[in-house]
Amino acid sequence: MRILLVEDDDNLRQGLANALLEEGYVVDAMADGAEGLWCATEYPHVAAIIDLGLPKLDGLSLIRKLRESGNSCPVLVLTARDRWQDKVEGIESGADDYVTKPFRIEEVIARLRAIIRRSGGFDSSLIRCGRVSIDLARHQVLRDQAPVSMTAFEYRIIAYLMLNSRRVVSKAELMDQLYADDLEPDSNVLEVLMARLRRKLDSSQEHSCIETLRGQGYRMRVEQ
Amino acid sequence: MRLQTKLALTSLAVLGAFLTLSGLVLTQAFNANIRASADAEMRLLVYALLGSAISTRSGISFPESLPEPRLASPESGLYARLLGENGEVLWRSPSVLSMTYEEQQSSGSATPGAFIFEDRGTSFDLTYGFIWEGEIDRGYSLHLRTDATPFRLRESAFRDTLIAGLGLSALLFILIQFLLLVQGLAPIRRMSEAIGAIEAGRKERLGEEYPPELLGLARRLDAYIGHERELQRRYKSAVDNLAHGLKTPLSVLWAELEATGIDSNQAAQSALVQMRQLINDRLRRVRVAPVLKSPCRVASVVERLFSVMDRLYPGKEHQCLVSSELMVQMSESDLMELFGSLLENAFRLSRQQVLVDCDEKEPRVVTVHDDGPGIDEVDRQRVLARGARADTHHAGEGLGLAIALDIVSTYGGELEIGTSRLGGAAIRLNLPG
Repeated sequence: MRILLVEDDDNLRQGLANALLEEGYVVDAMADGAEGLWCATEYPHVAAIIDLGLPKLDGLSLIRKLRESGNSCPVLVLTARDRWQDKVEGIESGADDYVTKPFRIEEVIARLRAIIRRSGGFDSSLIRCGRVSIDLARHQVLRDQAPVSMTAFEYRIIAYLMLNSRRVVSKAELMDQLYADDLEPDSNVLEVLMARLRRKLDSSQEHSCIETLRGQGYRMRVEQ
Repeated sequence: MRLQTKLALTSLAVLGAFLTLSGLVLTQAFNANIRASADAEMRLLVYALLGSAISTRSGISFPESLPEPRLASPESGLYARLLGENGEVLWRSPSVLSMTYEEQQSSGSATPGAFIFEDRGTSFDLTYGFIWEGEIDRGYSLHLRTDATPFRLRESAFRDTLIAGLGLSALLFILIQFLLLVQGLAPIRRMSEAIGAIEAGRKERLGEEYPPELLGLARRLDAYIGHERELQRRYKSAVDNLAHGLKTPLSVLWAELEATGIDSNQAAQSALVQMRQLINDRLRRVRVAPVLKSPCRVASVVERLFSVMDRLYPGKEHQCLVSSELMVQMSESDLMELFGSLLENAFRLSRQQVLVDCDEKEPRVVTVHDDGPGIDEVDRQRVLARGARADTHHAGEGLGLAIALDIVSTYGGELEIGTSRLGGAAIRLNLPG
């Protein structure tokens, strides 16, 4: 899943980006508001982490511009301003949650997971689609309540599909969410991965838990 | 004592003294004038009597038909006598009948050519000494007495008129003085009201609408207030910037610590927590500023926070039963900090429901209810202490209640922890009016 990170402090940006990469996210790390805006318009992101005190374009203005342009990706605000007035202004300008500095990175990641989950319309970190369920907090995929072994890449695919289980996810969108822009993915790789996922999650008597809609993309099958 | 009262009393005292003195002087002048007029009138009568006198061998006599008819009429109030050199009575006007006049007679003969005028209270006496040249030159004194009652009546009428006139003048003066005081002190009153409005946050500055005598003061006060505001803003901004500037490097340190394994360095972790608390604590103390406060609507702040809580804690029910008219004397930022801290606790700990209501009799007593686990009586004092946390099952700094208590206390309000009718905690606030 692709995350936009906009933070002007090099050390903090690098630390956050590394932690997010370790969590399996694809990260677009930007150093100022203008770059952040450009990146947000170029790539689809499942969420954005935006510092409020940014050069060129401050965080609040960046969030407002994103919302004005119709970008509805959930935004987690990083702020040194911990007054409720600042938090309210942040949320009112379109942010979904905030973390006040100084923070622990694990707290940022927990909040990020929560806003991604909420943006998909899920109250709990346990998401269920038919017989398959995913525990976003534990990074665990289950089939009939039994854990299924997954690689990090497979987990990212199934997590993204389940978070967006109410719609069709195009192949291009899925590729964007899985690969950083400096990598040139082979489109066949995705198909191979999908086949592997189906083998792990499906039983032979049933329809596949991942539907392929020809010419449109993929969708999790809710009823099985 | 109020300046207006002091000025009014002083001017009344001055007015009283002025009118009394004026009354006395005018009465004295009028009385002197009355006496002078009586004197002149009686002198004319003396000359008329002497003109009608007849020389006889023994000296002088007066005809039966006197020049003034009142001298011939008994008890007319005008009497005349002629006295010899030794004070013996040589002649009396027919108006003299009783002996009383004789008994009261005290003045003797006068030096020839001299008039002696005496005010005897009920009468005026005039004695004129003269030498009648006849066969033998003899000295005489002609003594006239006139009843002073008509003069006293004139004096009394004058006094009455004077008192009425001065009384009316005094009333007019008091009225004018009152109007002048009201009008004269109006700019001071206006300035005092404007200062009150600045304190209450309804006004930014005194402005220029003052007479020249006060305009300089108003401008200096405006400059002083502006300077103080600017200083306050600069101090707050400097502390804010310093504290916020420290927060990003602290986050980096934390990230580094996490990357190297946080459990391996408990001392560094503890130092970071301490630094974070210290920064937050100092920032909060600098920020809460009840000096220049403004009336703020409680319901609108709570509603704004509810819409934020909807994003942060979706699915929880909430209701605000605080009257939309309720205003409290707090800055919006501090009111938001107060309710933000309390509502975040309430939403975080509640199972399903958060309610904010106010007392029917005392609308400024506002309570935040939740249906969470509540706070045990034994924990209530402890959770108000800075950094304490009664809910060990939930993440967070546990500072919410201590922050709220800090803010409310700074504004002279009160905070109490109780049990809500919803089953959880009830945080009761007595907000400043």
